[in-house]
This record gives sequence, C-alpha cells and structure tokens, in this order.
Amino acid sequence: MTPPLLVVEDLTVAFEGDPRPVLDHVGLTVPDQAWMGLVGESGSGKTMTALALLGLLPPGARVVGGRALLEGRDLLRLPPDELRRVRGSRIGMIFQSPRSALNPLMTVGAQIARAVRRGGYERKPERAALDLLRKVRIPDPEARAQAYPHQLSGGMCQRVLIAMMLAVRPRLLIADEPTTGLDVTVQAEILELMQGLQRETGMAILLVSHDLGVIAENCQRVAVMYGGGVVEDAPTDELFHHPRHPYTAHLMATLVRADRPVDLASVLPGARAEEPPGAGCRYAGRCPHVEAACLSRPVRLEPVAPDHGVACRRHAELAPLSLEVKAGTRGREEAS
Amino acid sequence: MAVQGARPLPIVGVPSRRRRLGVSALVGLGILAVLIVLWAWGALAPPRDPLATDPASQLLPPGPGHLMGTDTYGRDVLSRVMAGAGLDLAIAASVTGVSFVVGVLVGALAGYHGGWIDDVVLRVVDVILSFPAFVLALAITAVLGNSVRNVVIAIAVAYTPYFVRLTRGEILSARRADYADNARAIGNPSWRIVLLHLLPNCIVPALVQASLTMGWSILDASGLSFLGLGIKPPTPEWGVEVGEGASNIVSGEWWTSVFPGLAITLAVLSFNLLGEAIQARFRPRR
Repeated sequence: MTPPLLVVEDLTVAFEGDPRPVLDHVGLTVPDQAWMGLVGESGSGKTMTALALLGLLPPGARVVGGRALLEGRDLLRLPPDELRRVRGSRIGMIFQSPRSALNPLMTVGAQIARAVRRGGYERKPERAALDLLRKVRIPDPEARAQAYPHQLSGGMCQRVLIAMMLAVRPRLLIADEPTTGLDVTVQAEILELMQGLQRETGMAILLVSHDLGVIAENCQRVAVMYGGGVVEDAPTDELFHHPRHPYTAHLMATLVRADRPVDLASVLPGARAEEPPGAGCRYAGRCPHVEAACLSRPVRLEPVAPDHGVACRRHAELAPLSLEVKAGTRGREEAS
Repeated sequence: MAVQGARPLPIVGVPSRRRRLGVSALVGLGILAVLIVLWAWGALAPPRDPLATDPASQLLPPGPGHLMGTDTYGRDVLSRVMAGAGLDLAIAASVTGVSFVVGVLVGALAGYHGGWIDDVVLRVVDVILSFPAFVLALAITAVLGNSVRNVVIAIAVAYTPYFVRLTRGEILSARRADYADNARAIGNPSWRIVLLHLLPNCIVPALVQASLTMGWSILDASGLSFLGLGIKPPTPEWGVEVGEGASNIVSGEWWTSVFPGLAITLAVLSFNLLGEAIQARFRPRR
C-alpha cells in the first residue's frame, strides 16, 4: 500500500471565547490517488475540517492543536505565505454553492484563464481555458467562455469550478458537497466527470457529503464525523458491512435499501448533538449502548485493524454490531 | 478575453446588458455636454480674450456684441465663463480623482486587513469628518496658501474620508465571500483577491460618491475663491467671477455674477443627476 497523502491527527479548532471546540481531536487518513469520503450530519464539522486544512477558517476560529501532514509538511503550522503556495498547487477545494463561488463580474472564461495562469503551465491561458471547458464537457465552450456566472446553470457553474481546479492541478482536491443543490441527473454527470478526471490526473479527492449513497459509490475510504469529531475511519466496504461504531451502525440502518423493508423505527432517537458533551464520549447522549464509564472520559479514535479506526470504548465487546436497530432502544433514557 | 468565433449566448430571459438611460442620466449628461462644449469653444476660439480689459466697454448689459455683457473692467463675461468651465471642471476632476484613488485604496486596506490598521484609519477618518468639509478646506488653503494645486489638495483631503468609509464597509462584508475563498483556494495572494475580485464588486457606492464629489468640489472651489481664499483674481474661475460681480448686483448690473453663478448651479446639478443615475443603474444588483 502506498503511504497516505494526508494524515490529520488531533485537529482541534475552537472559536475565540468558546470553551467548547467545534472540532475536537479530528483524525483522518486520506489515501493517495483515491477517493475518500467524509460523512456526517449538518454541523458535525465536515466543512470546518476542510477549511482548517486550507487555512481558510472563518474569522474568530483558530486551530488550537493537532497536525495535518501533507507530503511531510504540517499544513497547520505553515507560515501564511507558504500556505498560500500550497493552496492550489497541492491542495484545492470546490465550494458548496457553485454560483456564488464565481466572481459575478468576470466571464467564466476569464476566471478559468486566471486559474491557468496561477497554475503556471500555459503560455496561452485563454486557449487553455477553452480546452478545460471542453474537458469538463461544457457544450459550446467558445460561447460559454464569454458568459457571466449568472447566465449559467448551477451544474454548469460546478463544471467551471472543476475546470478551475484542473487548471491548478492540486494533489488533493476537497469537494465540499459538490452535488448538493443540483438535480439528480446533473449530480450523476458531475460525479462521473470527477471520476474520469481523477483517474486521468491521479489526484486524491476528499468528498465531503451527507449522502451515503454517493459516498458508497465513489469512495474507497470513509470517515464518519459526529459532533465535531471523527467516530470511525475505515475502508468503504468494511465500514458499510462491518461498522464498529454505534453511530455508523445507526447510519447504515437508516439507509433505504432495495433488499430490505424500510424500518421507520430505525430512525435515530434524540436530537443531533447540541448539548455540550461534557467530558465523555460525544455520542453518549444518543447511544443505545451507553454505560457510566462512557461519560467520564473522552473517547479518541483508536485503531482496531491496520486501516480501521474507531472512537468507541466498547467496540470490542459490541462487535459485531447489528445493522437492525430495534424500536424502543432509547439511548437518551439509558444515558440519564 | 478575445475568443475567435464567439457569438452572443442564445439565452432567453436574461436582460440585455444595455439598459435604457433614465431621465436623470440624460439631463445630467446633456448639461455636462453643454459645459464641455463651452469649455472647448473657449479654449479653441474664445469670442474675446477672457483677461483683456477694455475701459471703453465697462459693465455693458448682455447684447449682440457681448452675449453675457461685460464686467467692471470691460472683460467679456461669456469668455470668462467659458474659460472658467475648463478650470473648474479640471479642479473637480483632480479632486475627485485624488480622493477616489486614495480613499478606495485606504478603505480597501482597512476593511480587508482589519485589526490595528482598521482602527488607525477609522480614527483619522473620524477626526477629518468631524469638521464640515468646506470649513476644513478653508483652513487648509489658509495654511498652505492659495494656488490651484493647494485648492485641489485642500478639497481632496476633505472628501477622501467618504470614499474610505464606503469602501471599507463594502470590502468588510465581501471579504469572506465564496468567490474570494475560491480565489484563495487556487492560491491567489491577498492583493490579487482585493484588487481583482473584491474591489470590482465593491466599487459602485464609490462611483456614486465620485459623481457627487465632482459637484461638491466645484461648489467648494468656487466658494473658496469667492471668499478670496481659493483661486486668485483675475484668473477666470466661476467663484472669482461671482465674487467680483457681487458688488454690481446692488447697482443693477446683475449679469456679471448671475451667469457664472448659473454655470456653477448647472454643473453641480449635472453631477448630482449623474450620481443618481449611476445608483439607479446598479441597484438592485442582479
């Protein structure tokens, strides 16, 4: 196995004046030249993790601890100027809302041409921009290059963003919900496009999504986030068929699948983690297997197999976790 | 970007980029055109030398020989108004140019960088804004001495803070816009993000302000001259002309100051209308 491209350890991010970190000891291993998925509910810290890696945290948030090694360099400790050079050339990102991620006053052709110049590869950036538009399969690229973002559809804007990233050719591309807000056929096209380009360029893709189907289809490896931390990090097959963390097992149970009836009772009990988790496991409030010891000290991601990490102190005794969740197992009552 | 074989997009429902100009824009542009014609005419082929005195034709009323009459020294008022158009528009353009460029750049720096730079800039701006613009310009010319250059500096200092404030606010709210983050993710340095991405998206309020500043600075420049602290007589400048002619109004020779005064009014009106038109053209934004 080739060494991983990016290893994140104990990444902790907090907002100024807020004692509770938004990211708490996040650990991730992104394999080289492959797709890695990052799943979790809204607010679980997926986007924040991505922004922290790029050094683009929102004002007020800052990295408190941990490291993120990309090709031997710790992204979290690079001086701003070096980090800027890493952005684009080593690590790039596609943002959530494609239309607002493009400058409204510049034609898309000009924006791609600028990215080409940034990448430093071409003598004729305008020509290269047209080639890239063709590559991301935008019909009639000569005319589209002259269009402004508001004249293009969301899917079209997403392709333009992908073209811009292709222009700078990062080793690792973070795609934050690249298909959210696009209709299903366009989603499939965008993913297929990214598949092709990934094979061609050999870049690694970190796919941030809350769509398990999309993740299962595209990613070789998945990390599951809950309440600001990674609860399980494993190869996709392993994770989907032998989940070791109760939350992952729950997620799998909620998947609507053709081979079994929809079980409404499998809907996760409780609300998403809003209360401070206190000292213990961040999932304790909703976990059906919670016991007193889970609440007393923090639970960190630890290896259960060479490439499988789980943040649950009972993972050994609970295995194998049943995918079917029985009605009436109310984690909340047991926890209190 | 020039692309071979580009043709208009076959898109329905997108409004044409050229919208019809509104009434205020047309009137504003019309007046401005008249003033520019007056200036060009005066510069190329003035009816009379605006500085030539003629004791034989003092205070002649408007008539066929002198369309706007003559002043106390027998100078042709029309020629002086024409010459004043050039000087006053040049002063207005210089003041606006200087305060726009300086104000927008300083405002962008303060809004983007934040922190102590922002604090220092805001305090300085507050100090300047605590004086009425005209009084401040008056004080500065009184200290620097009156020349065209000093009048421009004085008025520009008074108007720069408005550009600083406007641009700072716009940049501050746009600095973490998605398109800026996207440009960052490609590896753009901060100065490129500010100059190429943020400023073009934040410039409209400053453009409106620039048009208003054109008008106000004409008013201020002629006001300073009227008080004897701006341009020195006998230079043909509208404020100077109004000031020199003011004493004649009592004795009935109204034309010596009414015509240059009218020129000031029209110029200010034209720039105010243009400012309004720019604002209407860009709001609501897309």
